[in-house]
This record gives sequence, structure tokens and C-alpha cells, in this order.
Amino acid sequence: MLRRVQPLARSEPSHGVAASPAQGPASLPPGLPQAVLELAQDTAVSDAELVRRTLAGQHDPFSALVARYQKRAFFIAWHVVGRTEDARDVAQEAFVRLFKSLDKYDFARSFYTWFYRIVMNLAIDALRKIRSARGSSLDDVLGGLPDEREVAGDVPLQRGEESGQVWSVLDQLDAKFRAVLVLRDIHGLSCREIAPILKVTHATARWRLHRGRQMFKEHWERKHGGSEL
Amino acid sequence: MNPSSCAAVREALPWFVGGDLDKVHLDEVRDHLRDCVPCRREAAALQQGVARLARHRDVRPAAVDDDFFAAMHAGIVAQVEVAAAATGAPPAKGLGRGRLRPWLPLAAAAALLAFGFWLGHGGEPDLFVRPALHSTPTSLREPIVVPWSGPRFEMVPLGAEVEPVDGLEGGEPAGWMARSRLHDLVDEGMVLPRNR
Ligand SMILES: [Zn+2]
Repeated sequence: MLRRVQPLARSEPSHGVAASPAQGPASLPPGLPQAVLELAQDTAVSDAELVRRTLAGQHDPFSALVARYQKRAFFIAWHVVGRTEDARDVAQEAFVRLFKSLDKYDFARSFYTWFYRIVMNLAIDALRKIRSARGSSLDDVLGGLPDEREVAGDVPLQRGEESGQVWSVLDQLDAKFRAVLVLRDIHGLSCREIAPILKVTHATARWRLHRGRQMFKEHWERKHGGSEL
Repeated sequence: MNPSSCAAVREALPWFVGGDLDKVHLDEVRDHLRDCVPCRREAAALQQGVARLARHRDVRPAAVDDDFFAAMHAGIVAQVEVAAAATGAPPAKGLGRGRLRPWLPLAAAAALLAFGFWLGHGGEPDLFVRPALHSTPTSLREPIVVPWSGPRFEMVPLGAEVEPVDGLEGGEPAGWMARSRLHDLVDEGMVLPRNR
């Protein structure tokens, strides 16, 4: 008989730098000064090294950090808050806060989990403010999904429809479950990477993922019908 | 089918469908699903949710293009330069400005400093006093020991090709391989394919 399954401390597939339109190739913005572009593209220069150089007052390293991470920051924020303008504001504020707290960076820890934590904290705050501002009635919630109508036109119609449905289900979820689904199932981070970003234990991150997937399925079936299987 | 066995499998399914289960439990769940239709249906429904979220990563908002990100980069650099200038920190001169006009941050910084000076003469608390952010930290004066310096994978520039990687702790399929596990089940006849 199958034993009761406990959250596991291992077995995370990890593809935190997975390529996608949100974070993949050709993602540096155009118009960068040549020195910044070269720095951002130089795989020999780690993020931590860019932090060191910024703290030492050298030229361009922070700009290179922005170039490396701005799309990832924007898309994580977008998938949490659901609105382009708010996601851009979150990403911009995250970089300003990052800059102001660079001297607190622990070089023994990974840079990106530290930075994503700043992004995610701001995004969750923004989501809660948006929800609070528009009230809690279902009509208000469903009427407040601008990006459902903003989705780019090159997405096939069926995908566009599904995208709107995904937004509406995500919007039903509590921010802490939405956050873990965004990081794990949309952005492909492992629970081991997610835990420090959300400042929770690994077991808590796994439990939220468990509940988040269950709730996503239940809300989907409630809103859009059950599986045809 | 043993009901308690079903209950244990149901508890494992949200991890199973996302590839978040270890090999031992994975095999046990697969064995159970081979014989249990209700649990197979539940697994398929959960797996569809994970797949929908994975596809959602390819959706882009309208009007978010290279120009959007170029403007965003310039805006961030400008904000940071103003923040740095307000604290008198040295990196203000070192930030790449993208397409930003070079005099703009300096003018903004001058205006902020003038405002701060005016506040100081008015006897009010200086709203702009902040700790010096960019003096060299103590930790940088000595050789830095980095026992574990960052992600388990080197973060690569956004423009570089990214090789698929396996799970760090070994033994588990990663990424789309794990997510497509139910496709294997379909191939094996354990899960009925969705009719379109
Ligand atoms: Zn069963």
C-alpha cells in the first residue's frame, strides 16, 4: 500500500533560468550604451561581481544589472498583478530599492533570489492594493482584469481565450498561492529557489504549491467546467 | 482499490503532475494510476491546470516590446541616479544612461539638493538625510570568502542560449520533461487523451 506522502526535501526539477519569451534570448533592451551592453552580456561577470563594482563606484555595472533583470522582474510582476502599468511600476521600484540596499547584499547568497524577493514583495503589495481598491465582489474582480483585453494580438485566438480564463482563475487565488504558482508553474523556479524569495521554509513553499494547484483546478472547474477526460 | 491508498495518491497528485515528486513516490503513484480510473481523472485535471499555467508564460501583454523595455531601462537608470545623487553617493556618475539625456538626472539631482538645502534653513527635519549607501562596506576591504556564490546555475545574459539543465539534487526529470509525464501516461494508455 502506498505510504502517506510527505513533502520532500529533494527531487526539485530546477530550471530557474529557463528560456521563455518572458526571460529568454534576445532580451536585452535596444539602445544600451556599448559598455553596458558588453557588461550585461559578459557571462564571465557574475551578478555578484556587478554588485561589487557598483558598490566600488565603477561605471555602468548597475545599468548592466538592470538590463539583465528588467524583463524577468517585469514579467514576474505582471503575472502577479495582471496589469502592465502596475507591473512596470513594481519593476522600476524594485530596482530603486535594490540600489538603495546594495550594501546589505550578502555575497554568500544568490543575487537573483534576493532581487526576486524585492520584486515579489512589491508585486504582492500592489496586488493587495488593487484588490482592496476595486472591492471584493465577484463582478468587480472580473471587471478589473485589464490585461485580459490587453493580451498581444499575435497570440492565437484559442490561446488568447485561455489566457483570459487563466487570468480570471489566478485572480481568485490568495496572493500567497498565486505567487508560488507564478514562480513555479509560470516561471519555472524550483521550490528550493522559491522558499527564500517568499521568505518561507521549503516545506511551506511545497505546501503552498500543493494547495495552489488544487485551488487552481477547483476554481477552473467552477468557472469553466470540469475536465473532458 | 484500497480507499486509503487512493487518499494518499490524491495527496501526492498536485506534486506528481508538476514533476515535484521523488522517484520512489513517483513509481508508487504511477502504479496506482495504472489501475485506478478516478485517480487518473483527478491527475489529468490537475495536470491540465499546470499545463495551462506553463502556456501562460508565453502570453505577452500588448504594447510591451523592445521600445517599452528601452524606455523602462532609461527610466530606472534615471530614478536610480536621482536616488544616488540625493545621497551624495559616487555611483551616480557611473550609471549607463541608455537613451536618457545626460543633463536630466543632474538637473533633477540639483533640484533635490536645493530643496533639501532650503528645508535645512527652514529649521525643519532634513527629509533627505539617509545613511551613506556606497561607502565601501567593511566586508569589501578584506578578501571575500564566498562559500556559495549564487544560483546553482550560472545566470547567463538574457541574450545567450540556455542549455537545458537537469535537477540539481539528481535523479528527477526537470522542466518540460517532468510536466509531460502525463503525456507518457497517455502513450501508455493509462490516461485517456482529451477529445477535441
Ligand atoms: Zn485511486
